[in-house]
Amino acid sequence: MSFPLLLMGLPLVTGVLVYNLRRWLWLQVIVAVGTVLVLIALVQLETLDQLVVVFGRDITLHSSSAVLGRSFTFGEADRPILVFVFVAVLLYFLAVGVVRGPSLFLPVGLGMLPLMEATIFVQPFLYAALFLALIAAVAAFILSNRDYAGTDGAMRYLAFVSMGVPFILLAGWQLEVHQINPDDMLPLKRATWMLGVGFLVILAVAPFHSWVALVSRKAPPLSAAFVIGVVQAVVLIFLIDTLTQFDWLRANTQFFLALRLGGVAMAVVGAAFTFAQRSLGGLMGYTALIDWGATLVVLGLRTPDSIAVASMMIVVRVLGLVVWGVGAGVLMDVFEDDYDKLRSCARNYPFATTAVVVGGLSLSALPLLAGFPGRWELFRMLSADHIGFSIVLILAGVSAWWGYVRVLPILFEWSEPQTESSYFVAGWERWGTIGFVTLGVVTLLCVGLAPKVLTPFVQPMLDNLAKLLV
Amino acid sequence: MSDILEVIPVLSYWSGSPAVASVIVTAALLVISEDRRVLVTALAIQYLFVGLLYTNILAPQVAGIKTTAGIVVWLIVFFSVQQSGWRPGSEVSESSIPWVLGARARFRVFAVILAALIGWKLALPGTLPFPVASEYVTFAALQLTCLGLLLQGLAGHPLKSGLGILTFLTGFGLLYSGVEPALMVVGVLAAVEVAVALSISYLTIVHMLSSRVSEEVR
Repeated sequence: MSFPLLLMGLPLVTGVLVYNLRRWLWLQVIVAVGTVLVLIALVQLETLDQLVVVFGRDITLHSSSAVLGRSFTFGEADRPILVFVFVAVLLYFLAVGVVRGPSLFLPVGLGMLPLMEATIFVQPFLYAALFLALIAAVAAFILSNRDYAGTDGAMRYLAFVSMGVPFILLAGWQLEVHQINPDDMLPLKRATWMLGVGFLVILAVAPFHSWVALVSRKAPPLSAAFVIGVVQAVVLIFLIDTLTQFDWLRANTQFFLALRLGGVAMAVVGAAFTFAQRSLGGLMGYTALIDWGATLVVLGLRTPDSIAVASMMIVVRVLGLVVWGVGAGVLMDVFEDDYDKLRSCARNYPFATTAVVVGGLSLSALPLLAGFPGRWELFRMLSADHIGFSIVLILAGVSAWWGYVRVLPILFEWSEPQTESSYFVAGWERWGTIGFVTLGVVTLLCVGLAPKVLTPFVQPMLDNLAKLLV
Repeated sequence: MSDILEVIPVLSYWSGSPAVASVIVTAALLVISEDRRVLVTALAIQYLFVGLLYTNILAPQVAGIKTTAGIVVWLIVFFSVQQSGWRPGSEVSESSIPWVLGARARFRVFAVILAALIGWKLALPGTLPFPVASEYVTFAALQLTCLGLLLQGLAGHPLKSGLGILTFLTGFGLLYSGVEPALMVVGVLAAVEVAVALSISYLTIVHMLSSRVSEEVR
């Protein structure tokens, strides 16, 4: 039996089952969460390519299998990356249980899992770009629905990914040309710029960033958070995988310079628009853009430490976004996204409001919250040789904080004379939401105060590249 | 058997310059026209001739897979248009006189000419590093790619914007099939086109429902 196909097939089958259970959300959540837990357990298996006895039957789980001339291969280095992807997806599935997410979120999320896995398994790995295009197409089903009818974000996302994928595929072909004639360096140069352009487009580097703002404004909050946090993390993992595989690309300083400049461009665009936003979604979108920019800058520094910091940022972003998504999901269901309609929402929805504020501020790297240690480490690394970059990133961070400072008085506004004791009206929020938000906020604070608690989870993720960059 | 053999030279004729001309005209129609009947018909013709163009670079069986995927994509688009309406109320023609081009259409014609010129320039030998399996195919593929990008840039409605993505992917698929004819890649590219068509269909319906709700509110 093929292990990669088993890992990809299981969520696909349960996805169909979950789709047919749409009337029972709690059952959907149980099946979806159970599937992801089983996947996490399966990934821990050490007995690949060995004969094992399961229920009295001899089974060999093959780590690789060929499909129409190409292979899907599970490597040891994929284990921590898959665990990260599964845990991230698990958090979002649990979040759907506590907040009314899009009805298709769970089946589509399960359907996206095999595609995300395929981007990690497929060999030659540049074909992963094709699966990214499939992910973007499938994501449309959770980025728009009857309640969130704006289709622009989903369309723009699909358009940009479709535009970026051909560059990566053509880069793969140029590499094959180079392998035939290793003395000819022209195909290698072409492959480098094609990979650069392709990744910059798919990673939403300015000026290809517009879908991030549109998706965060017009899509259901949890779906927007999922695409920006988890799907984009898979894209970045694909980029890091590319760097791991190609020595010549790792040795190319211009490629890393492009990553740094791309990251700074994202931060500049984010800084220019964050502080003036008039919607929670827009505020999150541009804040996330700054955070992604910071991640690209740290990756572009090309040091072993930078990989650890980038991994930390990716993990923390998923945490911050899921907490934000739960809070924003509750608030936008009741009040809509516009600031004018969100006035005094903290009165009836204190936990959801807290989730939006704390999740957003963690994303904007406020000290004492989870997003800060990674950003601080980045500033420390930049301070020696790239002081200009650190100034831009600090200004971008201040812009994001200012955006949240502006929204705080609106969310906590006292619209009528109230005594302090009667301001908060309990009973409007569900216990599940309260529990999830409390746990999420406490986690964000704990990671902010003691970031080393994440080290055991983060370190193995991209350890391979860190070793290669030494 | 002899009938089948007679078809082969006819097919090889139609997969040459007539296919290229048809593909360019239909892609231009997709950009210029707002009439959904024209759009759906143009898409059908485009996929038919793209299928023929594939026979220049792929084995007939593999070209058959691409043509089948094209038919599936077209059916998805057809049914989504049928569901959302052939003439939605929000899309009223600018010009009251048939066959007279409004300002928007005239701009689009101009833009199509410019995009086609760029496509033609890129197709000149030595401009792009593609292996020229067939000059017809490269020329048609680059025209589709350029016009698809133009359509994506100009369109606001999910249907037209989606047709732009499909046209772009079709053009790229033609180019890339000459480079990488592996069955898995051809298959996944076809799957991408079908998935894109499904998402366009879904977004078109969502857009239609929301427009209907906002019209009722008004």
